[in-house]
Formats: sequence, structure tokens, C-alpha cells
Amino acid sequence: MTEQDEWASLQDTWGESRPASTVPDVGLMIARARRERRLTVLVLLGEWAMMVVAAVLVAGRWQRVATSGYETLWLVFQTLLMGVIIVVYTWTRLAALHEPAGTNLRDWLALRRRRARLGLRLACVTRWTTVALLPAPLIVLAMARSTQAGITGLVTTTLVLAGGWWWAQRKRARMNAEIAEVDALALEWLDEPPGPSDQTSTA
Amino acid sequence: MKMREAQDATFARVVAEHGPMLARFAASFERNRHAREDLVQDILLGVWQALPAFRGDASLKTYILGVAHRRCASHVMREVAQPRHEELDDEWVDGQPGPEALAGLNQQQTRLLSALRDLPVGQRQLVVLALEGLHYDEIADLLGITVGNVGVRLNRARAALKEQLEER
Repeated sequence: MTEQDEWASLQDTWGESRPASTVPDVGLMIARARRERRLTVLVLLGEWAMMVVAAVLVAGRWQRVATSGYETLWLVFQTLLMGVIIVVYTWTRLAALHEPAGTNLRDWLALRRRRARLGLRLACVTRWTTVALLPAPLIVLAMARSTQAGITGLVTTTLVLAGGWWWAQRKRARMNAEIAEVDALALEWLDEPPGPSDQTSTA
Repeated sequence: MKMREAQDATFARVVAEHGPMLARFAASFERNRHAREDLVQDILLGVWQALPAFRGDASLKTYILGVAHRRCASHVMREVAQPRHEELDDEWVDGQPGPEALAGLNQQQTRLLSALRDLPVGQRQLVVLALEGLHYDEIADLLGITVGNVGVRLNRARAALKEQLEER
């Protein structure tokens, strides 16, 4: 038997095999995917509606807020942060609804690497912004009109900053792991050496 | 509404025509039955999402295999990130006939599947794509490597497969 015959025989064997995998009920699957897609779109609309309400509230209180420098800074920071988060989440969720068409494995891995690096940069910006805002709880406490307002403000701002820091740390670890996995996959599947790792550990 | 029905009909036709190929593809990447069924479902979902964007630049089979290939790569990445403790075939875990046996795979088919699963994943993907009848240029397009590279790597992978089959 020649090598070509052997290969043809393997192809026949492979082509005739039907490994056990229950092909799911297609109608049910599509219906569920459509429900999930609708839900995602509704959640996104809800988030954007909240963002608009927040923006309108900020605009309405702007005259009052603008008289106090640190409050203005704080409010602008919060609004910008919310904007960035909402844009990133919208983008991520919309991207998840579409399968990238016509993408080969190399491009797809490069896309995943780019997204992970973008995530790393976002985590880095969040960390440094948190560091820059570390005095904020004390300023809030010092500028408060009453003790209760001061404590509430102190706790709230501390929690916001701690949450931001925690999120950035987790995001950074996740994105570094993702980049390492993409590099390992590229090496194993495509014999491609890892890409430039300048951003993988510095963020 | 009509467009949606047409999409559903197209998808159902694709599943009927290419479902077994996708099941084979998933089987070469995942030996655990439940995980494999999840993987098949994930691939089909990907195909459903990708179908509206199909423009006919490549054959439908190549297009679908591209989706399956990316989903399997994601699956492998997830497995690396969160490995499951149970790596054995269902057959060995519970002493019952395994899914391959239950599905009526003959000895030769089981042997081939088993040999394929023992290949390094980089070689396995090439062999599976070639076994599905894809030409070198189609494989090169799917992976994003040169046709020459496909030839070299596929020859190595076929030799490795032969070794694995001879050991069984």
C-alpha cells in the first residue's frame, strides 16, 4: 500500500466516523441565542440610559458643583470613569455577539493579544488614577458640612478607590494570563514565537 | 420575519450537512463526552453567528471549519487556564462503554481518533483539517501560514500519526 493509499484509507475511516456528540436541538438553540442577544441589547440600553441620566444630573448641578474645585474634579473623574467602563463593556458585549468572519487563526490570535493589551493599559490607567486620587477620602472628610456627611463621604470614596484598585489588579493578572496563553497557543499551533512582551508585565 | 426564517432554514441545512464533520472536529479536541457536547454547541452557536457574514470567498465548508477551529482554540485556551481534574475517557471513568463504542465507531475509527488525540495539538489540527479534505492552500488560509509551511508541518504530523497508529 502506498503512502497515498494509506492516507486515502485514513480519510475514508475518518469521514465515515460519527463520534458521539448529541447535536443539540437547533431550533431550541437558536431561540436561546436570540433571547440572550435580546437580553444583552436590553442591558446595554439600560446602562446607556443610566449614563444619560447621570450626565443630565451632572449638567443640572454643574453651577453648584463648579464652585468647589475638588468636587468638580471628583465628579468629572467619576463621569469619565463611568463613560470608559460603559464604552468598554458595550464594545466587549457587542463583539461577543458576532463571530469574526474570515479571520484566520494567526489574525484571531493577534486580535486576542491586542485586546488583552488594551485591557492591560486600562488596568494601568485605573491603578495610576487611583494612586493620584488617594487623598480624595481625606479631602472629602475635611470639606464635609457635617460629621455624618464626612464619614459617609470618606467611606464611599475609600470603597470606590479600593474597588478600582482591586479591579485593576485582577484585570492585570487576567490579561497577563491571557497574553501568556495566546503566546503559548501561537507557539504550539503556528510555531510562532511569542510577540513583543513589552506590555505584558509593566502595566 | 421572512429573513429570519430563511436564516434558520439555512442554518438547519448547514447543521444537517456539516454536523457530523463538526462533531468529528470537536471529538479530536475533547475526549470527555459532556465537555464535547458543550464544545459542539459552542461551535454551532459560532456558526449561527457567522453565517450572515458568509460572502462565498471560500467554500462554506472551509468557512465553517474556520469557525470551528477558532472555537476549539478558545476551548484549548480555557482548558489551559482552568484544567479539569478528570482527563480520562468516560469509558475508563465509569467502566461503561464509552461514547465512541456507543456511537458504533468501529475499531479502526476508534484507533484513529485515539491516535489523533495523542498528537500534539499543533499537529493534530493540521491532520484533522487534511483528513476533512481541505487542500494545502485552504489550510494555509485558515491558519494564516504559508502553503510551504503547511506542507512541511503536515508531513511531520502525518509521520507522527503513522507512528501513533503503529503503536496501537
